Amino acid sequence: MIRLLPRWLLAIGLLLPFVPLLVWAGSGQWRYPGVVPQRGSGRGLRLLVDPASDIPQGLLTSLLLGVTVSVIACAVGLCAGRALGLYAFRGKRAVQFLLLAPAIVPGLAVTLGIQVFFLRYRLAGTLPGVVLVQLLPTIPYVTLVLGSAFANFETGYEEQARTLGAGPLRTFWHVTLPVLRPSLIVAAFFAFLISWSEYILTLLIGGGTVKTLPLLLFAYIGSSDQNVAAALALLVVLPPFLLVLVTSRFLTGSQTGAVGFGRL
Amino acid sequence: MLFLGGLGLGVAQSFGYLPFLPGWHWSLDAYSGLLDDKAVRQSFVLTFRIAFLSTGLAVVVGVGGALLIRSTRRGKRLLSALFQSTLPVPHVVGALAMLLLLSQGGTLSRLTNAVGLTHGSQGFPELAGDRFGWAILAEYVWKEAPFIGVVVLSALSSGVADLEDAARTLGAGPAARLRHVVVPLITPGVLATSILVFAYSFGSYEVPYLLGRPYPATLPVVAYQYYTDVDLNARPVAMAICVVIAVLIASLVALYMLLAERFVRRTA
Amino acid sequence: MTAPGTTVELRGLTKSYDGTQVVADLNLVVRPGSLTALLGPSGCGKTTTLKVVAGLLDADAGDVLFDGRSVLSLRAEQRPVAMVFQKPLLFPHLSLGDNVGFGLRMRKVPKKERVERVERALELVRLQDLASRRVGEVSGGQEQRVALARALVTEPSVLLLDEPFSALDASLRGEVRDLVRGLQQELGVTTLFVTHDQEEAVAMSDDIALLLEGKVEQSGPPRDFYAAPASMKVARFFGGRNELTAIVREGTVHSALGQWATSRPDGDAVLTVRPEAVVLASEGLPATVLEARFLGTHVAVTVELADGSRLQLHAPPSVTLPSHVHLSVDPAATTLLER
Repeated sequence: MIRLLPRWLLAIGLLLPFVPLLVWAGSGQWRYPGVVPQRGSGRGLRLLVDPASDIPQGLLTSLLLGVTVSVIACAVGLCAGRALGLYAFRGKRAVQFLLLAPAIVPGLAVTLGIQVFFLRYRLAGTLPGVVLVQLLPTIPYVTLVLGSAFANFETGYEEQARTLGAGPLRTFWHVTLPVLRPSLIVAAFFAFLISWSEYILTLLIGGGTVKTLPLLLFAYIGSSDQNVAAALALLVVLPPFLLVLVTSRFLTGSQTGAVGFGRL
Repeated sequence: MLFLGGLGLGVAQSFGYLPFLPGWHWSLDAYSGLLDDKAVRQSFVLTFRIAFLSTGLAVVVGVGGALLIRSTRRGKRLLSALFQSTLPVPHVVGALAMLLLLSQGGTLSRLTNAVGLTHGSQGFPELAGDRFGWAILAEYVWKEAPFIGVVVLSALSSGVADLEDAARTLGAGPAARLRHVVVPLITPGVLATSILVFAYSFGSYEVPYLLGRPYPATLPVVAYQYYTDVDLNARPVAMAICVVIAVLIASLVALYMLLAERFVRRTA
Repeated sequence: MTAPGTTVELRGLTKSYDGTQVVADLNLVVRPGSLTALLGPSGCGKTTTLKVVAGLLDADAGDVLFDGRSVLSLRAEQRPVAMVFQKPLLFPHLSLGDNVGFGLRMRKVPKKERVERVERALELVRLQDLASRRVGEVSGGQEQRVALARALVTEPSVLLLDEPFSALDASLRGEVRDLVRGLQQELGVTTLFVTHDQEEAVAMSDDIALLLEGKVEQSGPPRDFYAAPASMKVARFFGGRNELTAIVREGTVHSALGQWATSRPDGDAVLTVRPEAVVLASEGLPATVLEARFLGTHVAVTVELADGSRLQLHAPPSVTLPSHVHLSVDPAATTLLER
């Protein structure tokens, strides 16, 4: 029993914060000092799908943003990662540093400086503007993951495909991509998650017009509407959990990939 | 590009450059202002304290948790899955969870009230929106300890058990194996990831905004406050804070790269 | 660094994993100061046996005795053994010298003595100049030699070697093998050596214990395995033997090679004979040559006997073979085994 105690403590500590979230999401009235809600209600959860609320729209915006950012970041990351991973060149370490830095340096510190330009070029408050600013942390991260994948990539596969009569495009599609698939999935996964969880960059550039789920969640937390906030929070964590389940076998053993969790 | 541009512009603006605004001039006022500003000084102390404490606690809990999971036989997969369950949770959600759990009207307060440990919501200690930042700390540790733990677990995969066997045949008992084999092997990875954790807890905006108080606030929150101030002259100060954050974190990144390189070399 | 010769005895050792018995009632006595090979195909339980002796695994039943005393109550770190694994398993965060000194540090040997002993151990494996190098900066063969020094420096009573050469190139293998054999004889430390390579076992060891399906099928000096295999399984594992059907009736063997007296009970049997024991003669058993292949040191000849059974023999390389030959076989060089 004594030997199991620390394990139980660990498990409880990890799970405890989820409890009020779940209970609040389904409660109608939960006044202090009630340990359980006085009244249950589906109001919070119903609001998630109520077309009159801004939540369904926010879900769409978040999904659209996440997918767009993930796709663009992976496309750019594939080219940059190839250069970084396959070829040795002068100043490679400097480039690596320049890539790692924006992946780690808080977005706020950088974005405050460029907001004026987004305003100037009418990108502020638009979806493309938010995509652009979210690419700031994601492209470097994706490049790093794919760069380390390319570093272990056997170019012989490509040469083999070329000698078997595949053109550059077909070689890329049928050989390069499948070989890099596990890393690409990890990279895309984190790019999506970074975009999905982003708050401050979206707020600064989106200026309140581009309403993603984290922004709405912030607003509901601010309005002290705990039921809706908790229900919305469940909606926000659901896709990441599902994605983890789907991609878990690629995530284990990806040292570079795991770094992404530090940015979430 | 965008990153460098943003940083460069931030630096320029911190020196007084206010594009699209008449009458700006270069100056060092923002930086000297940083030192004079009491709010900023207190914010420095608070931010460093939170970042150090949350990183330290996350390392202790993360390494301890990983070692616990490693030595678990029954229910290992379940415990390991639980351990990693907080990883994909966005910090905004984590912050809300901590708010609902730890605030004076929160779940924990209701529980201690029910069993008679505390009396009423006012009798419960102020954990969220307090001066110390308990809830902020709790959120960071809750999110980042598993992050460190996962890195430790991956560093302790298959090969290390063989090394421990070798150490056993050379006369190393459990404590000696932990000290002379396990700890040295995980140290580089733990150092590298704790730098990431430090960087995050130092520069994140949403968690201290939701769980802290407006004054004293952490540096990113203060920077945003100044940035959105109606007085445009506060902007250079905001930029100066950002530059300080960026320079500090960037030097940590350089340190991380050195460590990560050694880490890779050792585990290869 | 001489260790007193320790007798190692395994009594009724049994070990199962997930319901499969890997070691089944294994009995073995290792003579003090000898190098004994645990030989067997993969999955025969030899590494498991070694780990039980080391204390890294607990047996389900049975006992392990050093000089007649059970060591089961001792944990691995307390047993007077040292082990070299398939991989060098050097600690990557320590220099080569610190790796060798690890066991001494665990035994709280003072630093000055430690340094001296590490130096001597590295000299033994002829790597005295590499103490300050790091793991990964030297070759695989050198790393394995460091692992050997690391095991020997603690002056173990029993040395356990788990296929320590299998990860090395063929050229390095011979070199490290000679080094191990030389050191073992010099130090006189009782050594249990796991291998799946029968040539290696024959070349290196004083005794061989052939493990098949978790049991010792036969043990003794290497030549016994050629001269007198205890069973068909042993004969087949060592390979290269001719097998002929035979019948024993009233104390006499009847086979294609002739008839002679035996002490075996009546019944069907298999007569085995090594190709070297079959010689060409001017008269004797008539046979037809089917194939002759020149192999440098000898000619491998396949012949057919009068009753249609086939036989392999080794002829001198200079011989010119007619299509019909006569053979002579010494009955003492044959082994009669149960079918």
